[in-house]
Parts: sequence; C-alpha cells; structure tokens
Amino acid sequence: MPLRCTLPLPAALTPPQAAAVLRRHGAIVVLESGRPSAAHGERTVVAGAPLAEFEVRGSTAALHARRVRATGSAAGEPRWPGSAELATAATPFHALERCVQALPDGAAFGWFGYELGAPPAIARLDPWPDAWFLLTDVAVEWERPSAAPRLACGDPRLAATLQEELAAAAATGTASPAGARPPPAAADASPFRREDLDLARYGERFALARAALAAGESYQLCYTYPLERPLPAECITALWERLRRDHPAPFSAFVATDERALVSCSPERFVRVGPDRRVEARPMKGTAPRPPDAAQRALVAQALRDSEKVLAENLMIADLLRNDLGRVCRLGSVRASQPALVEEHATLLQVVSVIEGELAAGRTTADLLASAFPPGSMTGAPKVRAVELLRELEAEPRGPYSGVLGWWADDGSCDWSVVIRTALCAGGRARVSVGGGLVWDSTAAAEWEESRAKAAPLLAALAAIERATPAGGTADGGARP
Amino acid sequence: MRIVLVDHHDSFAWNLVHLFGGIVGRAPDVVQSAGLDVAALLRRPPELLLIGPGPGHPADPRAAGRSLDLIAAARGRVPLFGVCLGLQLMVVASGGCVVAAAQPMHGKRSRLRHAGTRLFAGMRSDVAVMRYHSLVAARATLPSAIEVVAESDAGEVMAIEQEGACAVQFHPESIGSEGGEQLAGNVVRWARSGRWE
Repeated sequence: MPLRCTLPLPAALTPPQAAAVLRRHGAIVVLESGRPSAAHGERTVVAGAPLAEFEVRGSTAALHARRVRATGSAAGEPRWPGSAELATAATPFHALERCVQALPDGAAFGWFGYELGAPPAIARLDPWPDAWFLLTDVAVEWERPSAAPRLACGDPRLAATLQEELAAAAATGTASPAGARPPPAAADASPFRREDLDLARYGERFALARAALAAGESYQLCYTYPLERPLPAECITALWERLRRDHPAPFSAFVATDERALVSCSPERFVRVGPDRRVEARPMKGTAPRPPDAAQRALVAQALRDSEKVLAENLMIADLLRNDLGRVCRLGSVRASQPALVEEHATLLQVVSVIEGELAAGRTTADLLASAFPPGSMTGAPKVRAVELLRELEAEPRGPYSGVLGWWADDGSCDWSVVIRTALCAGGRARVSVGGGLVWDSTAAAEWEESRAKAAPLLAALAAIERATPAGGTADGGARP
Repeated sequence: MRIVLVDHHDSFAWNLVHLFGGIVGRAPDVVQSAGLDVAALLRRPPELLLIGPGPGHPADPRAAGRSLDLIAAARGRVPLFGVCLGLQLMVVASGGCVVAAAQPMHGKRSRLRHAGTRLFAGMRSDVAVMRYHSLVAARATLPSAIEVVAESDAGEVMAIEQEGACAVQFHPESIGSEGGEQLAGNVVRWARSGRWE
C-alpha cells in the first residue's frame, strides 16, 4: 500500500465510520479486500481529504488543487505539473503519472473509464468524466480485517483534527443513520423488472455478435448492457454498507464525490505492479453459479475446467494479456503462471488466468496502462476490432464500467481492479452494467442467464434500499408496498 | 538477427515478438501493415519478416493493410513466415482463395498431421496447436508452387511452404500450443541457412 500509516486510531473504528469522517473533508475512495487472501491482499484503505483532484474529459487532463498543507509539514507543498505539462503528456496515464510523482508521500486513488482515450467523436456517458482521481497524503488503513486501524497524514495540524474526529466516530458506534441497520432482503423476490433487457432483445444483439465471429472479425466479443434503478443520493452510502456486508468481494470499492458515486463489488484484478517492477494480471473469463454445497461446488469447478467453451474463452484472453504485458515487459519475462484457475467468490465460481511479467528497462507504469487499457477481459479479441464492433453493438457508452479502479504511488507501484459488478450512482439513478464474453459456442439463453446472475446481488441490494426508503422519497414511482 | 513483424492490429502479435525474440536474443521490430512504406522497409531488409495475425479477410484492404504488396515485393528477397492471417495473405498473394471454414475455431486446439518438413523438423506427429480463425485456405485453389505441409484432423490447411516463404494457420505463440519454440527455432534456422529460397 502506498501510504505509510503510523498514527494510532481506536481499534473499534470501522471503515464506514472512517469514510463518514473523511467525507466531511472532501471526496473519498475506499478500497477493501472483502474476501482477504494472499492473491488479492487483505488491506482496507479509506483515502480522503484530497490535496488535488485529477480529471480527464475527452483529450483534456486537468488537476484541481483542493487543500494546502499547513506550513511546517515535513514534505512541503507538492510541485504539481502545470496545465501545459499535462497537455503534452503522451496519454492520460502519463499525465497522471506526472501528478503522482509530485507527491512522494501520497498516492492517487480513483478510476479510468472505458472510453478514456477514445476519439472525441465517440459518445461519453453523462455525467461521468473519462477518468477521476484524488491525490492525497491522508488515509486510514487496516492491514488485516482484525488489525487496529492507523492514520497517514502529511499535515500535523490536520492529523490532530482527524485523530480527534475519528476517535469520536469510533466512540459513538454508528456510521450513518441510513447504513446503521439495513433492512433484510426480501426472500425469493426476483430483482429483475419488466423494463430490463429481455432475452428476445438480447438475442438480436447476440446474433449480430455471432455474425462478426463467423466472418473472422473477432474471436470473442464481451457484449454488455446496462440496467437502471432509482437511487436517491442520500441512499448511496447505505448501498455501499449493505453490499460490503452482504456481498464482500476481493476488490470492494466505494468512490464518493459531491456529484457522483461508484460502489464496486469487483472480483477481478486488472494488473498490479510492485515496487520491484513485477507485473501481475488476473484476467477473468468463465462463470458459473456457486452451489452452497461443497461437493456440488467441486463438481461445478471441475465442469468449468473441462469445458472446451470456457477454456477457449479464458485462454484467448490469457493470450491477449500476455500480448498486452509483452509490449512493455522484459523479453522473456512474460509467463502464464496459472492458466485457467477456478476461484470461488460470494455467489459465483470464476475462471481466472494469472499472467506475470517484469517491466522492461525504461518502461513505466503509465506505459503498461497505456499498453493494456481497456482490460482485454471486457473487450474480447483482437482488442482493437472488438472495441469497434462493440461500439456498434452496444446502444450506450460504458462510462467507468469496464474501466479500472485502484491506487498508484510515486514509485510506480499500483493495484487495479476491473470495474465490474459495480453501481454507477448519479442523478438519482444507479446504473449496473453486465455482460459476458461471447464465443462461437455461446448460446443466447445461457449468456443472458449468466449476465443476470452477475447483476442479481447488486439489483437485490438496490431493491432492498428502495423498499426501505419512505414513500415518495424516491424517483420513479416511489417505494413499493 | 534482425526480425521485423508486420502487425495487423492484432492482440497476439507481441506473443510472437517474445517467442522469436527469446530465440534470437533480440526483440523483433514491430510495424503496422496499414500505411506501411513497403519500399522503405525493403531498402534495409530484415533477415526474417514475420507476417502476423489479425482479424478479417485477407482480400479486404482494411484487414490486409499493405501486406499483399509487401509479400509480393519481399518474397525471394527476405525469408517470410506467416501466422494465421499471415498464411491467408500469402495464399491470396499467390492467387489462391480463402473461404469460410466448416466451423470457426476460436481458442480451440487441434492435433496436427504434418509431413516433418523444415517447419516441423523434430516435432511429434500429432502435436496439439491453438487455433484462432473462421477462414481457411481453399485447398483446391492453391497454386502448385504452394505445398500443404500440415493439416488438421478435419483436413484443413494448417501449414504451407513455398519458395522463400512458409506459414502456419495456427498460433505457435499461444499458451495452448505445443512445440511453439521448436517451430520458431526451425523458422529461424531456415532463415539463417542461406538456402531459404
């Protein structure tokens, strides 16, 4: 993790309490290993009190100063790059890299959206920018779920204030009224609604995708579509608290600003770079529902490993990630250390491949991101043509969905999840997009079902919050009986 | 050894870079076929030219870029090795046809039947290889100068050799292919032999 968190905090402090406190000081980003493991990490970080926010819209990257450190801070003021310096960066990744390098005692936390770097003529998802990050030296960190939290803060005066506020929050015992006691989910009720994309309309898109596969234009197309539900701004925190409790994911995340929020339950790592310049990607392709019974789970896992269709879907993207890493990694360093590994998550079994490499001399993290973005598991292969075809197949831009979310420190180390199983919250609505890799052996009915299985936990949480909201308190018809 | 790889906006090209770069100890240079200056490339000819994979039909200029002209100009001057679309481009450049295969093979493996010629020297006869293609060379349309040296269990063209050129329909650089390094090593030995014409 990028920040050195050394200031003690009360052991009783919870991530939602820390998030509520830091939210009073501006935008926040919470990154949490909801299912701690050696592969995915076990830290929780609540970053906030931004010194600056970085935003990309179209071809323009901008940095907005947000906080000035008190005089006497050990590190002094960051020497941020000027707008001319940002404008001359080769890519938005390189622009952010310059900002990150100006903050040796901090890091950037945020996301790059799917349309980042696309030509200006390509539509964007309103009201989302192409990328958004906060740059800060303030974070609360739990090294493990059971460890006592600690605070990092480069400004002694602010540190004293935050320690006081965080201690007070820990003492009161509640985080926020909306999140204190989430109502139980209604059993058996389907979270899907009539207005959601139905199988007939899905089938039309599927047929078009399959025609492109038959013509040799692509080998796999990750076709996705959005589902929308009402979500008043004051319920966004409750959605995050419910999902982190009921649906913990290896890359749980919460990004909240005054205008927008992003609540993610992603199970997938895009790439991680260590301080030693070693790179790891974990592309995920291949999904099955997770049976509650262990013996049945073993059977389903074996069926995934034996499926020619699942292996095709997964190994194709593993080959693609080898390519994307290979562009910037030392000759001979790229290897698929664990091809087609079955992982167990909260409600699904997923097939991942682990691809490793080492950045070549002269190559940086920004070069890697520029080479490998957007994540191949969300495009299909070959990537350039797949992205073009998907723009024709999909009715709307993806926005932050299918992009990447994580942190980035000045030594080049970083860790990114793929933005999937994520609610994009803005303007009183929550948008949950889902999809899957379509290959020649795919069938429309099975792919449609798989996409719905991916959406179900988020839609169920949204439905529960809608039920709990007082009548008339929501857009779109108010609460249900 | 200086190798140039001609890419067609593919997502596996850099796996070929690492495969061949690992054998010769130097990463091949990668150039895009679209907009390629063929004359400039051949003014300083590489010692091996790889015609890489890519999406689409080899007779479609959007897919082929400048590769048909490049193959016509380079064959006989530089040893050529094609992969996937690269094989199909060589077939079209020699007057053969590329058609829809009976079944698209995307990320699937087949066992090869090969003749043990220069490409397959030292390789097991039933080696399993990864395939990413919907289209295939129409065998009956191939000129006599092109020899089919490997086929799939269904009889589809999996490798060809002709004067100054050889190519495979499958992907030796894939993690799903057996014998990729052996095959790439055979290509390098052939290109270095001085008898590659």
